[in-house]
Amino acid sequence: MEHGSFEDPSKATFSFTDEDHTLANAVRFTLNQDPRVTFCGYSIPHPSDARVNIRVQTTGDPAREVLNDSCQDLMLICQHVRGTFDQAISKFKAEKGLSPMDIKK
Amino acid sequence: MGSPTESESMDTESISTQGESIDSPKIAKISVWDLPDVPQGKLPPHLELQRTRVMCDFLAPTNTQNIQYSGAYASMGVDNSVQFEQFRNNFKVEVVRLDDDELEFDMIGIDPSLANAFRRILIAEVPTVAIEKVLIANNTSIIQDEVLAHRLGLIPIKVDPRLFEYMSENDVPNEKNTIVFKLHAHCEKGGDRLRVLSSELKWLPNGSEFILGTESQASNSSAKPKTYTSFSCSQDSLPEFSNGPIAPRDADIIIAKLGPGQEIELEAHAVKGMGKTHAKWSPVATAWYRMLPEVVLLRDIEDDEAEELVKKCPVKVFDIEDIGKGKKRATVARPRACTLCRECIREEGWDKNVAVRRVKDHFIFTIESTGALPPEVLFTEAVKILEEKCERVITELS
Repeated sequence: MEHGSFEDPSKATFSFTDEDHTLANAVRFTLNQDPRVTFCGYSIPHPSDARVNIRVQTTGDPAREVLNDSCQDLMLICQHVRGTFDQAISKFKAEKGLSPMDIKK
Repeated sequence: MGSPTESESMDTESISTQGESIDSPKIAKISVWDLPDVPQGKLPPHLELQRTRVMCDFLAPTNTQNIQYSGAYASMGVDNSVQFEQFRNNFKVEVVRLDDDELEFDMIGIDPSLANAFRRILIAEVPTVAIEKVLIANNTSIIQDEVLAHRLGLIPIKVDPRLFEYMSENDVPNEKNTIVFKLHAHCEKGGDRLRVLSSELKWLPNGSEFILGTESQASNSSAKPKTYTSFSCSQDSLPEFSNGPIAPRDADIIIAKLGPGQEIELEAHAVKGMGKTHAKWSPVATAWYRMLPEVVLLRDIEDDEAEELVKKCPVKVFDIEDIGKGKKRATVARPRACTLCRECIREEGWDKNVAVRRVKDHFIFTIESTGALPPEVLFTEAVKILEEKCERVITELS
């Protein structure tokens, strides 16, 4: 859900249900890394509600697009983390001469 | 990155001409950023140190904040944004230790907001299967029904949760969302007391054996009586479970102790869930990270002082090396062992000799699995969950 104005799409607050610090803090990081962002922050209005508000203000681009790009960035980062991690694990296992762990054991 | 912007360089010029006669035309104006000891396109060393290290000073840690904003150093012509390319070149993972239940690895070149997201997901959002419903037919032990049910819930079950579906409120228990265990323990009269262990939980691949109360009145001898679950097929006929029965991960967890004549007869229904609902669904005993400690000797510590320093450290971070001519010098041999107790800088003046710091983008990540999934799989799952969250936001935005 987006709360913004029609006149100025460069500033908006996005409200996500069923999300918390986990996503909001990570997205705030990727947003902050984007030079188009002049301000961003998040808040959890009430601890009993599973809801988080993310505020994005940009230098001119629509806030929606900038947030979208930030999420894409975060996804790319995650994919890279996963790839690197898997490589490191298989390298470690190969060095130790371990066979892949049998989870049905 | 690049040179400072117009207005900023003007500011700095006016600073550099302070104290000089303003209308003296002979002195060439030089920006402070053009002075030889100010590195171009890089932060000055003291700011770089503040950006990348937490100083563990004698009184308190300082520079604990992370500078995330891309334009934080714009006035110095330094770009603080992390482009994906740059991240990809710098990010590293080094596995330190890996066994059945535990994994320790170094994650280098990542922001704490992401490391923390992975940790939070591991604890609260990676699903597992745990006992949720307990149908007690008979319990004459001294453990109350609700305490017994709670204890059963906390037993880790060795089964891959990815093979199961979540059970929503109105779902009927079926072979895709429920695992049924039976426990029947009886202590003989006149015998010894009996320990009921988790190994006595027996998997019922065909579902519940307890017949629904409504069924007994309308007894229909030809049809199979309705039980508390409605499995359409036996779970052990499914290829995923054909290799071995589903059982608790540890066989030696004491569930209850029975005195002579006491008996427990129950059925336990396990379902898929997440740690944020109840800790019994958390796949990890703990998942945590710490920043890499960095111990730096600010000057050469020699001879008696070196001996003193080695003695100061309770975790033996320092060693002594021989530098010839009967002289000895202290070295930092095991910085990873440092607990940042700051014992080495407690005595007056010693903070001028030793600096204890933490590297802000180097995380020593430890995952202790409860056993349902191996720890390396748990981490991969956690990263996938963060990806799914992003995907959800992207679809919601478009």
